[in-house]
Amino acid sequence: MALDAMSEVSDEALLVLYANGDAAAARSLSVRLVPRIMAHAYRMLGDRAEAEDVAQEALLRLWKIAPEWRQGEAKVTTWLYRVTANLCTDRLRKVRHSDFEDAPEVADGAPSADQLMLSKARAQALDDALAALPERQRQAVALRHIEGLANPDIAEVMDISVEAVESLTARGKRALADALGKRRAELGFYDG
Amino acid sequence: MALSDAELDRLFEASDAQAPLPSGDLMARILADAEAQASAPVAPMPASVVPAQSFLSRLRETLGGWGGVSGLAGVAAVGLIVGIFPPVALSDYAASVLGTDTSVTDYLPGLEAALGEVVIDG
Repeated sequence: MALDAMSEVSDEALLVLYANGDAAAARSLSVRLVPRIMAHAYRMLGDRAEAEDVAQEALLRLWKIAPEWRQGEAKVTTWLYRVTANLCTDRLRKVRHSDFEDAPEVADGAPSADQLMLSKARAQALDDALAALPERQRQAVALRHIEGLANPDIAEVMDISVEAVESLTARGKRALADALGKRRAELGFYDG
Repeated sequence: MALSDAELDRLFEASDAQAPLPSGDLMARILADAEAQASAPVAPMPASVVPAQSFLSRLRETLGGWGGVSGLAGVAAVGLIVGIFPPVALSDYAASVLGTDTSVTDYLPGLEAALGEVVIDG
């Protein structure tokens, strides 16, 4: 099946197509999912190379489980975020570090140089503040407010209740607001 | 002063926009993995995963649990006892149904003679 014809096909159906030998389905799934889980892994680990390794390992596990995947039982994205989160947690337990010296590569776009610098500064400041949060709060906040997952999906990814997700995100957000409030001018917020 | 929700949302948006993109090399590695997995033969289940079953456990599985096994054993025991020590009532009932006389009926009366002729002719 051609890649453009797959834009309407669900992740779950693509995975079944891949399991049935459709190589284009694997490409389509990768284009769709790898940027998301790579970004999440980067936010959790703060290291691009490690985030890439995690993304590759998570996808490898997805390819392996594909023949046994049953449609309707789980969402591929939720499953993949969960595997990614677990891989990140394993790495964080092994090596505790927060090296944010290397700025991430930026996506192509057409904003002005000033806008780009401000956007970069804001992203960097948020990454710094996120890195200072406890691991679970960081994960919940990133999944909710950056990746855009719904609370029930986050609960499934993190294996906790929806109430616990709400508590983690609320506390995490409050901590971020407090920490970043001290850098208000630097982040281009002058009104508050 | 803490940032407002709206200000924080703008930082989340900036973080999303600045997220590192996967390199071409990473995508190539991932697709190579996908191809390798697609062509990988399905690994047979290791012997250690499939425990050897004893005769009793296979019997239990066939009969649907220990209830089936005990039921079958009970019926077999009753059959054995009845066979060795048939109740008088059962013998009387068998005699009334089957009768006490025996007789032989020859359904192919000419067969023996015909066979005898063939042997003689040969």
